[in-house]
Amino acid sequence: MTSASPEKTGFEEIFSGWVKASNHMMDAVSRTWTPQSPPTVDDTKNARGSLWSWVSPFDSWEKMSTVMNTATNLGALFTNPLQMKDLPQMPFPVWPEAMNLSPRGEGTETDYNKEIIDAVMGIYHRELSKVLNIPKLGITRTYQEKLARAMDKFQCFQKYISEFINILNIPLKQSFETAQENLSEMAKNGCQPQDLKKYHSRWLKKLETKYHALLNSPEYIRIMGKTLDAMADFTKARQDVLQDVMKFAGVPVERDMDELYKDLYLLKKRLKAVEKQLNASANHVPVRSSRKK
Amino acid sequence: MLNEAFNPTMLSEKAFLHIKKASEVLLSPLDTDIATTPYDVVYEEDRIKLKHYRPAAGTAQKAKTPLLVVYALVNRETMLDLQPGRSVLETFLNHGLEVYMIDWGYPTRKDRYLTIDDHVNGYLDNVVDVIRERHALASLNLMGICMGGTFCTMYAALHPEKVKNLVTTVSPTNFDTDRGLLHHWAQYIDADKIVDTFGNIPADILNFGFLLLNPAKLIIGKYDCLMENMASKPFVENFIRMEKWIFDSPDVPGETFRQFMKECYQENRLIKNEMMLDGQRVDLRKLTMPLLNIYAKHDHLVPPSACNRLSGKVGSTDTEDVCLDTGHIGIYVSAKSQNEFAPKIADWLMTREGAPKKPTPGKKTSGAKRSVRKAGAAAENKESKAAMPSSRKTPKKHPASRSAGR
Repeated sequence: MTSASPEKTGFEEIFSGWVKASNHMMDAVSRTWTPQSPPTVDDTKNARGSLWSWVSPFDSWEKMSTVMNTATNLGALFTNPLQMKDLPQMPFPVWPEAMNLSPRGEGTETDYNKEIIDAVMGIYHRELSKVLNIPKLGITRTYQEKLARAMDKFQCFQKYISEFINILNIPLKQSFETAQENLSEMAKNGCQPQDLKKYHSRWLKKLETKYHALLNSPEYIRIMGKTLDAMADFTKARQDVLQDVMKFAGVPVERDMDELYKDLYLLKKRLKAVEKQLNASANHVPVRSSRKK
Repeated sequence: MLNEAFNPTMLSEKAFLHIKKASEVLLSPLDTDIATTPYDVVYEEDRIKLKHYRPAAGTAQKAKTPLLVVYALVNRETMLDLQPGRSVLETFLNHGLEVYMIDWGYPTRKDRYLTIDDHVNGYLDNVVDVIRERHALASLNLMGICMGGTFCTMYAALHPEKVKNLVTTVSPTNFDTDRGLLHHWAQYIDADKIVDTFGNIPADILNFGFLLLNPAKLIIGKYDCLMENMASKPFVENFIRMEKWIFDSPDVPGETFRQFMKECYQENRLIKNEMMLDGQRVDLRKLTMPLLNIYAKHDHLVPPSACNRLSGKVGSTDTEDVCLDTGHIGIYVSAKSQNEFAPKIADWLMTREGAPKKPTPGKKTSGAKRSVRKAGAAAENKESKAAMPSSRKTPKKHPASRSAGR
């Protein structure tokens, strides 16, 4: 916390202190993450996976917080932000760069993520899966098997849900990349969009078209089907484990309740059939088990 | 360059005032109640309720044949009564119809074994009998919404003597189409695995699936629109009402889902007259009462190609297809549709009111043959075609349905 400044109120002082502390923290992180060697041409051009991609947004945050933290602007921030001074000089953090959305370098973000998923699952199948599938021994072998199956199914589910989220992200990233390129191009030519609302609507329309194409594609349907199957498999395996635990506690489990419900359902069906037969026959007193008001 | 494009100084005072007004609206009391048209529950069975809507004040009841509205098992029937002035039920009541509606309730684990037969030949048949008894009538008017319309179609084919007129709205009866994403995805879903695992299909999964049909519009665009209009109290209230309805989803009974997915979506048995309910074949040729089949041109859930084959398959000669220029939900809730959709149905039913048929004492009503309207029906069809430019009798190809949101 800084010492009190006469022109700052208590709240402004707290905010000012927070901004400075954040700045210090970001600066420290930036220094830690920034590679010691100077950036190469490839590093600066290829933001994907490069630690240098974080330098720009950190610098932007530092500049922005410095401008915000002046006495005049602090006061204006809490009363009327439109009166903040030096606003045109406030840099807009280039977060899309930091999030590696720039279409620089070869390959795509999608491939990169998919490679990670495949690599992790490859390690799992080669190493861990074998351990889980070791035959279980002893009096508790059934429970051990169920636990191992649940863990195995969980990994499979993780794989497919990651792929599912990844594939759903593709149109969003592509549309951001395109929008970023277009904006940069327009800015270079000095003809920025005057009506951001129209630009946004156009972007949304393009995004809708991309999603429509993706959602109809065989690849998406394959991953969606696999994800649903994996979710069902994992849910079943988890239920098996939980039901064993609950049995020890003497709590009726879903399986028990389902058997009861099935009996109840079949009994009710038979009763309704008998009711209908009785009602259809002549000289009867109408019978109805349901409530009529 | 980007800095200049998104320079905060470009925020006008107008925008600042917009934010201020929006916060005032959100912090003020909002009228977001839905389903406010008064009704009485006249029958209950397990989780379902039969609602009888009280006649509109100052409106004489002109129709002698009551109308039973059957909603889908997905989402809630409250959508038909979203708000005063935008309520299909209210319009029906104002046109002098006597309206009943089934509330399917919220299925629990014990409902997981209920099949389509239990819903159609069980609950729906019992409800129809209750209404017939109350009014001492042999038959009533039946209207189905979406999956509810599919159920009504099956019911009318199995019990034609109990249905005087049938109205199906955005009801899928032909599932062999690749126009809608749902139809496309359903081919690859292992319904057995999902039902065996979950029992009832969780509403959250269904909701998520529906959002995925058009994520750009339903997850981003919709809320963009809200942000732009947040300063308008009526807009916010309407929006919240829709949000309330759209995410108020019951689970779907497991066996019903299994049967609907496999026998309808994947095997398309209904339109081929191969659907069996409790050993009885659902033969659409036995559907001999007048049929009004309404669907939406831009329906991304139930595309026109899923609806427009029904008229050509039924035994009735008094059939009419109406294709409205709207989407799956817009057909019921849009301001424009209020003047087209519900009045059209009310007028169509009133035209076919005729003399109500009384049940013949001592004779069984099941299996009794209905007379088929021919010459009179053709003349009536011409009149209603003239009134609705998009209505037609002969099915024809429709352009691909555009996503129009839910």
